[in-house]
Order: sequence, then structure tokens, then C-alpha cells
Amino acid sequence: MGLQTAVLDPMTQRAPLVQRVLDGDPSAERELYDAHVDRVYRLAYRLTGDGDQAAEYTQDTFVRVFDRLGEFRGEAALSTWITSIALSMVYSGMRKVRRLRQRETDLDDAAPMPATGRRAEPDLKRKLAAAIDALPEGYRTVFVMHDVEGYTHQEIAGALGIQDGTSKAQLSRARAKLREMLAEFEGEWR
Amino acid sequence: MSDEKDGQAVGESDGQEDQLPEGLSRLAREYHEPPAVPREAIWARIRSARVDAPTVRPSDRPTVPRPPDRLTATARPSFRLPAWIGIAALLALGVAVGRWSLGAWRGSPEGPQLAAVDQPAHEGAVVRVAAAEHLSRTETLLTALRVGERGPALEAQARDLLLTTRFLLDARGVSEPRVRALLEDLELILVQLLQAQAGNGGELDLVTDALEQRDVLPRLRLALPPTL
Repeated sequence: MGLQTAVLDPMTQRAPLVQRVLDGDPSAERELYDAHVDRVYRLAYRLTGDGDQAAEYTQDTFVRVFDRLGEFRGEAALSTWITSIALSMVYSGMRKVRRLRQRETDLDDAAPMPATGRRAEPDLKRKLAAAIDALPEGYRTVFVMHDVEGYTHQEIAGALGIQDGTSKAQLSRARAKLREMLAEFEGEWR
Repeated sequence: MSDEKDGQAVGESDGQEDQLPEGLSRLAREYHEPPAVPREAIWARIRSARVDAPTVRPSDRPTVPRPPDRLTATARPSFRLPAWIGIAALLALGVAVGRWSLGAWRGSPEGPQLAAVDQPAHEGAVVRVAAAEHLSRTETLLTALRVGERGPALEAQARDLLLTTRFLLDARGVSEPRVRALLEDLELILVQLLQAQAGNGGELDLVTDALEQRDVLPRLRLALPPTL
């Protein structure tokens, strides 16, 4: 994935763009938006599973970014700062909507294992999605950002305001939790 | 997807040995797989939302408050007290603490060394002392919030702390990145707290959740000097 190179936006490359936005250059605003919108939307979608919500939180993120860009001091990468705002928007919004609980699947009520292998993977995929949904919020965020979207621990730590080690520990616990929840399907994913 | 291992503590996972099996990893990457990004539609909504709130250049900050709304209320206020008032208050607090400390130091072998400190460094030290005091007060407020305290007194204190947080962010002397990051998180949480106070009580849960999510209280306590 190109995310690893996309996140490498050294301050020396971004600072002129930020300054152009602050100077009121409308094309610079669009340029900044285009450089970061995909990543923000993808993360919002991954965390919500809903296109409308993802679009709304992406909109809210960039409105906040443009409103507060003058306060961006450059200690962190611009992408990390924007991701931090995006996460704040997503979780504030999701709590309000309270859709997390509506999307949880009761694993005990799941359909019995199909006899043929052709349905096995879709069923495991659904079970995995439900297991990820059921992770505690902190573990889920780190897992989705790292294992699903490809963020580094440094980026995750910067966006969440935690230590790199905390990010790694939460990822490890998330993975352990998922293995535990999917233990009965071990034969399918080995 | 390799992570840096610098500063990895003993016993910390580097993410390699406990990776999910390839089959699960592959399926995980399909979790809530996003469609194509509706760039133009979102851009149109952003422009519409910003019609009444265009980007403000630092040099153009208006001197009257903008109408509070969900978005602008979370930004720094568009009005400011004259900077000299806030900084003078901070320096007065810091000087008061510093004079007390100096009085204690004069009796120590370190006294003469303090006199040799240059002015900018001393100013920075004063701000740092003020910052430590501020963090301590903020910790007290946030701890009270966590245990369920609410009310006008808490709101008033949050407003004061928010103002001081913003002055500290603008002042010289607080340059350590982790402290600045902590102050920025505190700013966000205090703004959310004040918004919640203005709205329904249920949103205060979001503030306490944000405290947990960002490890704010542990970070605050780590940032405080042992004597506070």
C-alpha cells in the first residue's frame, strides 16, 4: 500500500502548503484537502462501517482543520495532527449515534458451520468483523489503524497522544482477544 | 509495515511475534472495506459549512467573539485578553513561586549559581513553574470530573484552566514536545467539558471517555514534579 510513503510528509515539504492556506490561497486549501482526505475518510469508514457517517466525520474533520490550522505548530507531522482531529470527530460522533451496539453480532447466535467450504470464508469474515466490533474501543482503534489501515505505531501514538509502547501493547492485546474469540475457527485460518 | 524499535522497553512486543495468521490478517484488511472516497461531495459540504467561517489568518483575528457553534466553539476563542495581562499573571505567579524557591536556595550551595542564570532561561523556568502549578490544578479538576462532580463551580474552574492552558501554549518556556502535546489535549478536553456543560449532561461521558482514551491523567501525573 502507498500509505507508508503517503504518511512521510516532512515538515519542510508541508510547511509551505500550510502557510499558503493561512495566507488565504483557496487552491492551497483544496490541495491540502486532496492530500489528506482519502486517509481520513478511509479511517472514518473503517471505524464506523457507514458511508454517511464517514463522510460527515470527514467533513467535520476538515472544517476543524481549516479553522485551527493557524495553531498547528509543526511538532508532529501534519498528517498525524489531522488524524488526531479525525479520531476525535469519529468517536464523538459515534457515541452520539450509539450505533456500535446495534452492529454487534452475538457470536452465540451465529448460523451453524456450513458443511461445504464455499461458505466457510464468508462466515469467518463475518465472525471476524463481529469480533473486531466487539473489541474495547482503545484496542479496536489501534488494531484498525495498524493491522487494517497500515499506520505505524509512531503515527498511532502521535494521533492518540499515547506512547509507542502503549500502542504496541494495545495491539498485542487486541490480537490476543481476536484469537480468543475466533478460537473455534482456528482450522479455517491456519 | 515495519515499526521502529527504538526505545522499546524490555518485554514490550514489537508486533512481530504475535501477528495474526496470514489468513486472518488478510480478512482483517477487508474489515469495513471503504468504497471510493466521495471527494467532491465532501468538499462541497466543507465549503458550505465554512461559508460563514472562512479561514482566519493569525494576523486577522477578530476582536469580537464569534457565535458559538459546535465547530467554532472548539477552536481557540476569536477574542483574547490583551496578551500582557495573561503573561503578566503567569509571570507574577511564577516569580512568586520562584522567589519562594530562591529564598530556600539562597541557603544552599546552589544559591550563587542561580544568580548567574541568564534572563531568558530564568523566564523559561518561571513559565515552567507556572505550568507545573497549572497542571496540578487541572489534575484536581479532571479527577473530580472522573468521580462524577458536576456543576457551575466546576464549569467556572474549567474556563479559568482553559484560558491558562492557551496562554501557556502561546508562552515561551514550554517547549518540551510531550508537555505541549499534553497541554493541547487538555485544551481539547476542557473545551469539550465546557460544551457538554452547555449542552446535555450525557455528553460529559464523552469527556471522561476522552480522558481514558488519551491517558490524560497518567500523563498529567507523570508531568508533575514530585513536590506538587
